[in-house]
Amino acid sequence: MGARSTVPFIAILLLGAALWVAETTLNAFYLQVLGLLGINIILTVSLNLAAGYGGMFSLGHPAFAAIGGYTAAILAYPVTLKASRIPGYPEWLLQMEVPFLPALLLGGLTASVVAVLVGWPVLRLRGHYLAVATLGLTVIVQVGIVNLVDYTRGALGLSGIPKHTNLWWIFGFALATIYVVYRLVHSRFGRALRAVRDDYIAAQMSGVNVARTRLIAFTVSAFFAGAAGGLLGHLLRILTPGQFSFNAVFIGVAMMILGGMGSITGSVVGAVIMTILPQFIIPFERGGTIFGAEFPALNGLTQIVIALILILVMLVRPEGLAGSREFSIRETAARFRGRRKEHGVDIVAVKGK
Amino acid sequence: MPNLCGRIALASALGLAVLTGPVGAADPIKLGAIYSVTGGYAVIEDPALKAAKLAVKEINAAGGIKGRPIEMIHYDGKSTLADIANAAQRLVHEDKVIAIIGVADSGFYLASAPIAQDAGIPYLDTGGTVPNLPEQVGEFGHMMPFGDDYQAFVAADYALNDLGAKTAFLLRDADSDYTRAIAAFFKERFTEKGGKLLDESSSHLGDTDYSAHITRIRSLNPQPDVIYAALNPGDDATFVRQAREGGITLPIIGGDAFDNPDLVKNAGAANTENVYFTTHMALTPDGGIVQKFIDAYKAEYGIPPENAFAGLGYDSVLLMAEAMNKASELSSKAINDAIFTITDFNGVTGKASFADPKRAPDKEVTLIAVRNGKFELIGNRKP
Amino acid sequence: MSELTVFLQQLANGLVLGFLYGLIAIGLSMVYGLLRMINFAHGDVLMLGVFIALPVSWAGAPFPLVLLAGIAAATAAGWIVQRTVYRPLLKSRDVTLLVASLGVSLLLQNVVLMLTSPQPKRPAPEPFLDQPFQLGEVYLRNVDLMIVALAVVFVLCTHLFLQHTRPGLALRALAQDIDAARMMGIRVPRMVAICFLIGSALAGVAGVLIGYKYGHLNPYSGFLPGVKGFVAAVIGGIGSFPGAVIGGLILGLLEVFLVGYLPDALAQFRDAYVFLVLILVLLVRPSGLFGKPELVKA
Repeated sequence: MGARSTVPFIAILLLGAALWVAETTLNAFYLQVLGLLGINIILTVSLNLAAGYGGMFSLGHPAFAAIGGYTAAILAYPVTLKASRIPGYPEWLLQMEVPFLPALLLGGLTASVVAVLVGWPVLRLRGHYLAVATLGLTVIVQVGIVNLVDYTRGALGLSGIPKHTNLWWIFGFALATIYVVYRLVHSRFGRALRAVRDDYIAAQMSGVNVARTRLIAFTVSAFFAGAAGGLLGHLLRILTPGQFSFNAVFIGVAMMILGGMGSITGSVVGAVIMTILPQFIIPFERGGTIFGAEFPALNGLTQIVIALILILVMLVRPEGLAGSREFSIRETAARFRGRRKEHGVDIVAVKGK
Repeated sequence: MPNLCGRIALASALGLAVLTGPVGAADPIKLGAIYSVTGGYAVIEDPALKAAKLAVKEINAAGGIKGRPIEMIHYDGKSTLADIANAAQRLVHEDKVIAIIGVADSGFYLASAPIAQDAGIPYLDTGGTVPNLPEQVGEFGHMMPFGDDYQAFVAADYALNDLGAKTAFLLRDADSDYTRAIAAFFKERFTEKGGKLLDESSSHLGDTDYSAHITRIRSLNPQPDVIYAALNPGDDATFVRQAREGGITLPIIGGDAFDNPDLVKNAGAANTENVYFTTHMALTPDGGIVQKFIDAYKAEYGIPPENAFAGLGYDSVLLMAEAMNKASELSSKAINDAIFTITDFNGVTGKASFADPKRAPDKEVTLIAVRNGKFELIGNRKP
Repeated sequence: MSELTVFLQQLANGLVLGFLYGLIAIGLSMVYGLLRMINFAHGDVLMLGVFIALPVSWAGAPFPLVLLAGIAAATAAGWIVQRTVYRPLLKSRDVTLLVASLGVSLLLQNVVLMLTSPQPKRPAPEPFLDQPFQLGEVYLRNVDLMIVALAVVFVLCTHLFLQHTRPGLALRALAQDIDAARMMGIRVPRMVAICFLIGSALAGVAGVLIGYKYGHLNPYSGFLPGVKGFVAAVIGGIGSFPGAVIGGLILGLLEVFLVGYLPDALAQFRDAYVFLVLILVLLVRPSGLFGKPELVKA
């Protein structure tokens, strides 16, 4: 009993120490890459809540990130720039400069509200029909951002966003996301959610309010995606519609599936692979000398390696690297001791529909 | 729980992953470069990079700068915002470059320039054309090309005064900032000076079918006198060809995106009659530095420059080199100050002054007419 | 131009575009009907097909030969992809297949980019195809007629194949119920291969025609047609063979008429309307406009 509660405590302490070391010793390049990693973790875990645990295979999460990101950025945007760059808003909004935390939360909330409005009709769809409909949401939001120039600065992008974010913010939010999603899926609600995912009709017959369960999970998931968008804007100091395009859809899905649908550990692993690994490959792209041998520039090497990893992981581990298991100290320790006891798997991987 | 040890290990190992550049000449000057050679922007940024490499090679062959060679460190922007921002961080904090050149998109520039600005490193925009980019970034932001307003104004004046047009049709790619901007500036100038816009239409990134727009033009009665086509590079030939084959013989005016040999190659010589465009450099042989550049490019890569961004990439290096030569010492700050003192820069994209710290350089716009499949110089103008 | 001719011209524009979308949609729809898989690499197989056909055209080969080369290349590419990547995953979850196809798409785009260049390319001009074809004031080119003719021919051939041959029957049975069909002794992997062969061949046809019509090909040229093809397949009723063709036509007409008739301030939101229509179709009739004939699984 005692061990169970001290382990997360120690873990948080370790994370805190690591963040402190990172913030004080690493240069801006590492901090930015790690920041992007944290944001990708939030995005992937939140997508996993909807898709992995809820069976709602959403391709609309970049839209939520965009809505949350733009909302937060517009709220926290310097008043001095607002009137010239995003003049479409009413005077009171142009005169308002909201502090970062409320801006971020409001961004997440706006994404949630949109999730409710969209989810209410669309979540009746299942499987790939839901995927295609939510992909439509991504396209519609992107088209909106591009064309509503007075409200978003259009295709040029909303630049000049103050840099409010650092690793503390990002990993604080990542931790909150992981905590909330973990508690949610391991609660009564989580059991209902998985029941809906695995067998719609059986869940309905055993008294689960299917529509409400799905909508709640979808909305919570959209909140964190929206917050991640807000963090992204305040990390890179710019938001453009291109950041929330098809490419973002693919990368999000790839991170989730690579790690494992229905596994928070997997989401973290997927985000690490897709964010950190390219940074090691990029220096080799421009060519140069290695061990005295000249080699030419290899444009697209990173993308090719990532593509091969995606394909290979799918071939070798179709359920993703972590499957639907979670990392657990006890189990890892048990494995090290060579006792191959049964996994404490709480979710059985089911053919997703 | 995320694996903390793993993350720290990764973070520290990243530092070791940076390759060493070519060994040899002592103490090279590190010039950073961010160009997308993959993704949607590769079509314009890849030629810019190739020309920049050529310029570095030529400068080093001629003895370098103050006796030291230039080492250009390039990262692929992958046409993706986060990758471009990462590349800027890497150049500034890992490679510790003295100056940066790069990108051909204003949004990409705004995503990466604040990083250089914070570190006090001059960053020259190769092809992003929002007129006041430097002002949006700070004192370390500089622009190589003229602003969108210049070329669109020159185009509008040409339509009104030289072609005698009174009415126009406007086609623009609605998905990119550059095409929207030149379209807006053209509209502003054309209507301000008494012209009338009969109708406008929006295409989209990746579209190849212009038939609906073309029918829309043909359905106008009376017909417009001129069509202004604010399109991205690569789409120029596609549109011109379809317009001509769809029965439209009206004059078509385009922006610098039209400046590539593929315009005639992909649209066909007969279809490009009565096509005009504004651009950075006259790719027509004139016996001067432009011809020398084209010949050198051909010798290096086997093909003539793919589009006008090659010239801008080449000039980006030349301008930085001139600033380095003029600078009192080889430091970022001194080079940055030296850029403002360059008022008579003479590059393949024309003569320019970089004295204004807030706006695009004051530079002549080249007007080209396509005749018999050849680019003919109409003149160099300022609005 | 009278208003009627404008309408007829836009109708012709939309139909030509629609037939191209339809050709692409068939492959996506059939594969989905069989495997419940969104094949994001379909458009890239199309692109690979044309890129291999391009040198054939530059070498001076006439159009029919270039077309054959494109079909052969796309078919081969489709077959290799399904044999090496998709077949081992037949029993996996559908999302596994989806991510694998994303990987294949990324791989094909970047390998082709590495081997060629990002600059747009076109096949060698084919005077016959470029010749104008005028019906009153409606301007078309022979290539437009070729698109319609080839699309109709290939669609009919596929239809006859599905209706009147044993593999066709097996394919339809599979789409109805893959487990029951397996028990009846149908060799699933072989049928999947046939399905990919047909889809990729049609994509090859579309690719070569796109090359001749628009003269604008780069390593990313397959992506958007792939997405559009999928949208068309969903609108028409994914899994349905005639639905894919009709969905393609609807999408083509929708795009053209939105741009042709709306004022620009509204028309610039074109893609948003297209996806809005898609969502509405899904909400009203999840199985697509054209119900579930042939290849739809209930």
